[in-house]
Amino acid sequence: MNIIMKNDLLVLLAVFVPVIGAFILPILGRFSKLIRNLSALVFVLVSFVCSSLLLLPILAGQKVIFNLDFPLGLNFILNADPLAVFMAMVSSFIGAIIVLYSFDYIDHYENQNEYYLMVVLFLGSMMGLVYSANLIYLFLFWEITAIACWRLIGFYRGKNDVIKADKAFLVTVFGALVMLIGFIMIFQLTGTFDLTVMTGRALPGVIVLLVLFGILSKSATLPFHTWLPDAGVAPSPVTALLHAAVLVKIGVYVFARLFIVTFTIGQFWHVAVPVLAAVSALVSAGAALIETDLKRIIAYSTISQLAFIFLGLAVGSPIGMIGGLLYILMHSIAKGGLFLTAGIIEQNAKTKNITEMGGLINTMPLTAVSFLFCAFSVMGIPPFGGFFSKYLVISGAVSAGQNLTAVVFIIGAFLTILYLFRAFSLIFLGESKGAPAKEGSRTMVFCVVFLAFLSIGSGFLANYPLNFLKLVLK
Amino acid sequence: MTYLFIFVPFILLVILNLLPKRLRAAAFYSTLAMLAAQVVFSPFEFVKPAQMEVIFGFNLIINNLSVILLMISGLIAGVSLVAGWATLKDDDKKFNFISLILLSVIGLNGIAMVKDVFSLYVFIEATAVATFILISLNMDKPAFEGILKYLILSVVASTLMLTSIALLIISCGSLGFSDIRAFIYPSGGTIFSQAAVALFICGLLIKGGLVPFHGWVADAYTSAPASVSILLAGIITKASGVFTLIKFMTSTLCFTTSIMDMLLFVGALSIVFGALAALGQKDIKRILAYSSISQMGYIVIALGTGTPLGIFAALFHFINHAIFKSQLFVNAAAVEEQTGTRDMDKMGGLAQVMPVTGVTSAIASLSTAGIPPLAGFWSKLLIIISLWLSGNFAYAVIAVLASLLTLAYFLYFQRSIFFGKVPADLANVREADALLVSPAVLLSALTVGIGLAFPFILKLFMRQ
Amino acid sequence: MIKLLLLSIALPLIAGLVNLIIPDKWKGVKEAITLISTLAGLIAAIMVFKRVMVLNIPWGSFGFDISFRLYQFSAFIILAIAGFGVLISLYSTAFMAGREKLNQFYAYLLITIAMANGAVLSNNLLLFLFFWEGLLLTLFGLIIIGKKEAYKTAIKAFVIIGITDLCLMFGIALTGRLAGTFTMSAISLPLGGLASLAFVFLMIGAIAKSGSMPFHSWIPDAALDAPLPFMAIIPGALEKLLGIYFLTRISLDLFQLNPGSKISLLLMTIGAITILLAVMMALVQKDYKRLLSYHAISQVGYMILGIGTMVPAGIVGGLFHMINNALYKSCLFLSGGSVEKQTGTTDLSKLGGLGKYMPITFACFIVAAVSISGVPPFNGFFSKELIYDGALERHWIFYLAAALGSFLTAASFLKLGHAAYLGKADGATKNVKESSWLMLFPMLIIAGLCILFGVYNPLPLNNLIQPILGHRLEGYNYAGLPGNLMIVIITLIVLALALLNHWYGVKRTGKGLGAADHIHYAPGLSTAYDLAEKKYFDPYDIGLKIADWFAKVLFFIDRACDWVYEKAIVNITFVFSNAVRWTQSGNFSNYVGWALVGALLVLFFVLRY
Repeated sequence: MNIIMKNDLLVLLAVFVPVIGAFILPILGRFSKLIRNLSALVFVLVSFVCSSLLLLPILAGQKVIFNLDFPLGLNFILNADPLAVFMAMVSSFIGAIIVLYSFDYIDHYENQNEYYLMVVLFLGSMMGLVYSANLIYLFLFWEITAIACWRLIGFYRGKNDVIKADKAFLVTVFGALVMLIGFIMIFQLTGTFDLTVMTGRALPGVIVLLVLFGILSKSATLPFHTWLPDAGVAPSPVTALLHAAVLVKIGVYVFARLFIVTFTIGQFWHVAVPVLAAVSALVSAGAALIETDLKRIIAYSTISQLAFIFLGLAVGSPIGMIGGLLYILMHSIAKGGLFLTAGIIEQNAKTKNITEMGGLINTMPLTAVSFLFCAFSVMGIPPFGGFFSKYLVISGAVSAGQNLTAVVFIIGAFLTILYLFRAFSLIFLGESKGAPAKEGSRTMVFCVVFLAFLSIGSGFLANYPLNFLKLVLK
Repeated sequence: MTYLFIFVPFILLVILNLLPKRLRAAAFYSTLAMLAAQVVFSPFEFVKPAQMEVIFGFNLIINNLSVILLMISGLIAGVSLVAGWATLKDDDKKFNFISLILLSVIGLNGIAMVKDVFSLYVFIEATAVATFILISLNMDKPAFEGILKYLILSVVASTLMLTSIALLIISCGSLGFSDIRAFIYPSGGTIFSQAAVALFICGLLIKGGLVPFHGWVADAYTSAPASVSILLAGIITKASGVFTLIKFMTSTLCFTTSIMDMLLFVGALSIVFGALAALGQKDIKRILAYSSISQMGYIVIALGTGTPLGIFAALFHFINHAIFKSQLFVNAAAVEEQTGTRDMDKMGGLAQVMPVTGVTSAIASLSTAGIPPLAGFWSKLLIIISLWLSGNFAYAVIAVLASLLTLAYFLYFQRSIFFGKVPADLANVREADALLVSPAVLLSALTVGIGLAFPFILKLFMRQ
Repeated sequence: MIKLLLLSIALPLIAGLVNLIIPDKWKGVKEAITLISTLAGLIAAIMVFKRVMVLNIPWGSFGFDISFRLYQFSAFIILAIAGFGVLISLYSTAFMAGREKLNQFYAYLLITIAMANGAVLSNNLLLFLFFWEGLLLTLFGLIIIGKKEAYKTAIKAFVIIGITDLCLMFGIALTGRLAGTFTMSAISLPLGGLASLAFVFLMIGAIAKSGSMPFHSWIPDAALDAPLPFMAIIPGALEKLLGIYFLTRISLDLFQLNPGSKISLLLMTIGAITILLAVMMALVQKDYKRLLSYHAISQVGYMILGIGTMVPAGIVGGLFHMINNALYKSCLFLSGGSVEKQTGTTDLSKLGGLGKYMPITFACFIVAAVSISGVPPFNGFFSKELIYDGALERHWIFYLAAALGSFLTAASFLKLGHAAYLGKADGATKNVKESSWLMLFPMLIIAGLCILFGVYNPLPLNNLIQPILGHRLEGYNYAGLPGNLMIVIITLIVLALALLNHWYGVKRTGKGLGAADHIHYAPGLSTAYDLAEKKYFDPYDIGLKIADWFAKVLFFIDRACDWVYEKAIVNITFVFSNAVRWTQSGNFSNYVGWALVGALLVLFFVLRY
């Protein structure tokens, strides 16, 4: 095929190949598992490849917009700007790794067809959300992801699982509905839902507040965060998908999309949101230090890392914004790795309770090292990628003059080191308490090792995303 | 030509009753064919833009209300016919069922076409009569209790409507919609005409089962046979209730502020009341019944805005609701048929053993709760937008948050019937028979299709 | 030349990575690679010495630039690091022979050297932070490959240093904002307000790296768990060099510190406290390496005190003490290592009379011990005199602390030497052999340097130290004999007292190990010592307790949020729901009643207008 195909076609492919393909998977699944799994992977990779191909026109400074006009300002617009392409590449890439990982992980369970359907549908609608430049379609894809997560969290069908799934669904939908009111107020102001015509417009505080409800609930930030640890009942690739890679990033992405790239918001919010994020970072870090369920610990850690992203994006200084966006990339890689290692541990140690583990490093060295690497990246230790994003975020807060908030986040970072090491030493070091667990399957281990190395590599190559992200603020 | 929609079913009804017993199998197919024909041919009745009289922005809608009702009633009647054929055991019952469906279809088509208040009243009553018998088809005690409540409140409704008709004759001197409109729009009319309008609307609200006129709804829906409650909940009460309300108000343009405020209030009340009442139910049909009270509330509240967008939204939600609610009743019928119970606590995980029913019901539930990209989302979105733009912010917020309640009880519905794990005693349950599954598939396909195609539909129906 | 500069970072790094992957089967290869790379590093360091060069490569945005600067100070540190690198790797070839995880040990050692060089050379604060914080990883690795239980210490070290590095990160961010640049050579901020805050955060990073109190508590644990060469080079030498280097940079270049500023007072106080408390602990230790580790802490106190004075004598003394300490401290650790290698233990109660079996080790130990105790004419004496001088210039109390410190230092080393090398040999120490030349050679070299830097101190002072301060010295020259005779006399008296005290202690208990018991079990002190040995005063443990308590509070908040969703909202909703369902009495007349009332209300409402 030729690279010089029409760019807006690339956007359409990136969105609709997985969305439509998802519904083919169950049919394929009736014939052959292998074909289904592979095609699921291919669908996700297609969006990744298309998004990467979109880099060329973006770097060349072209605009890539697919537009379909409808009344009531419901124009269907897919707009591939640097922010969208960045986000799309990150999520589809991590998504592909997760799909690969689930080949072996999901193999033991029922409802695999539904699993692949939902995962691919999720990623597809994520693509749609990332690219769509119209509030209503953004909301539409937003809710499709919610549906997918609802099914995925309840994947094991246990009573508790299903209740937790409903909880997550209700909390996020509540936020989304409040956000919808905000969107309608925007419609009342501008007479359209089309974001491309709203650039640079100042947004009244009440609308920001309403939209924040949606963003915070989707990105699991205090006080809407508790559904995220509960979502740990889902199978591990799903939790990885939910937490690390995409779902929780939706909120921060929309924050960037609306409040950084499109609208301008009042100074009050540049202070209020970081403060809220600071509280969220501390509370969740503290919870992570108490919890004994591995997945819950990592989930809480996700919440507190998301607070760092919010700090960067909301603090209102360019360094912070870049840092926040870079944080999305680094955290997706590292946290995805953590969750996938957690999956291996859970499957082989037959428990999620870290107090019942120990000494696993002897039996699963690769997993242990990968866990440690990803943990280092989350802590923000050089040369791991997390260092750059963490530094930039803190520095952003400082350069915005919010030193106190920055100090609170430093404390949050202390706690991060503490709880990650607590988990690591309890799981992998010391005396083995349970039965000796064996190393995970080859594919699964490959995935985590790959992510672990990425979290180092992303450190040494951090200048590329850094320089690319400068386009976003243009 | 349009009168065929009344005569054909009538003639069919007569012929079928003359037929010898052994040929009665033909009744099913002929009726089905007739209904299919109605769905197919009614679109040809769409008034061409050229012949449209201009009222508001939505001429196309308002001039073609009748067409829309014809299509929907044909569709839903067909569905319930198929469902009835699948669920009813005894042949006589099947035959009575068919003839009663024909009767009610006559009534509905009549409602669709009439141009004056009196014949509207007549056809409403005709439909009601058919409904009474349909509900009591099983001739058992709960059925009679349910029908009695319906009957009594319908009597109240009829009284109110007759009174208003009398008042209308006194005040306007004529019962034709156009004359009434000429009398009350834009002047507002006399106190008598206003009272008349108010009373007529109250009658329709009773028929539509809105709070506080809803007493009969739950019992009537639950006590009726599965296939009947499809027809009842899906189309009859909606058509003779809220649809007639839309038709009456748009044709007579009685959108005075007081009426609109009243409708907004009643709508909001029904939305919240229905949702809350549905929350704690254990009986599949009851939960659906209260849910439809709440959905009727959405239609009425949208109508209450009195803006073109609001009316369009109301009508659109009426269509969607007819589709997904009757589908949910089809699913309920299937579940009841297969498990032999309506108690949700005894079920669970049925999606494993009844995959099609599970998926379709999930689609319909989410559509009711207004989750995109399904049809229900768009109609609710339009309703909320119209409420907001018409300045009824509080009502808009209520409508939004109530859809969270809706989601809550439908999640409970899904969780306790389809999601979870299968209890031991239901382990050997199988998927319902094709006649019960295919309508569900058809309807949920419609829900998804409308949802995905909505922007195009909007483009079609909206005059820029 | 620039290439040489980068070589000193790249070569050890690459060599280290290679070591990681080559299999253990290939005997001697790792050692060879390590020696060659460190030697090359040393040669490079010598070749670039006394040169000044700057290298800038723009990399990422927002101040992330690769920028190196070589000048007297960094050249000096590079040289020292390279020297220790060679000696320690030479020593390790013998000492580590036959241990597990050798490849990791050498790899981490080399990468540490690379990172340290990078940190010292970098002229961009962010690049500096990158290398500086990167040292965490190798530190963690080097400790964790020690004993089986070493991971606890490794985590302890990582947490302490990691947390302080985060403070450093904040300090750097703040400094960068205030200065508007991250280029170290371009920053010179006046103190006050935010600048002071920034300085304190940077200082925390610096002194924590150098192992001063209250960030010290991992070092004594590491002394027992980690492999000994690690102790000799990392806490013994390298971290002192780095920490004091950065402390000097920030207090001389990056910020305009002046004597009498609160910051300077703070530094001196930290220094004094560190000297005293650490040496008090050292005095009562019963283990060779653990005793040394406490001295490794207390000596930092002198350097911080010296630099904290912010008067030329003090600063010169501090820097001179930095290099001296690196020398004799690593020599002491190495002597401990050779004792451990030969006798298999470092428990002083098991040792004794080694002097006649291991004469060379003993000789090196004596040289290093007298140096650290500040006996003339060894190097420690001169640097301490300078520090006394500076301290006295500021306030006599600091001088007092320093003098008392050296009294205890001397006492504790008399005790150590007596217990380990004198007395009669028995048990583990029965006719052991002198250790191999590979181990003795580095010790001899270092011991020789101790003497050289003492008897001919102009060599280090004029070539290494004083050029760093440049104009600040305004004509002073501290080479040669100490200027202030009074201080010298006091020092000699202090040493004599220490000897006297030792004699008294030995006479009381009859054995060298008990030489300090009269202080240890002195009323009041004894309880304090017990608590200290039980780690009641360990800032790390206290911190963990606080963190745990804090976390419990936070967790409660979290549960409270969850309660709102799980219980509160649900119950409230169902209260309403039940109320609504209660109206569904199923009673006909009610329903009709509502309908009629409703109709009437509607009628009235509509006709109201």
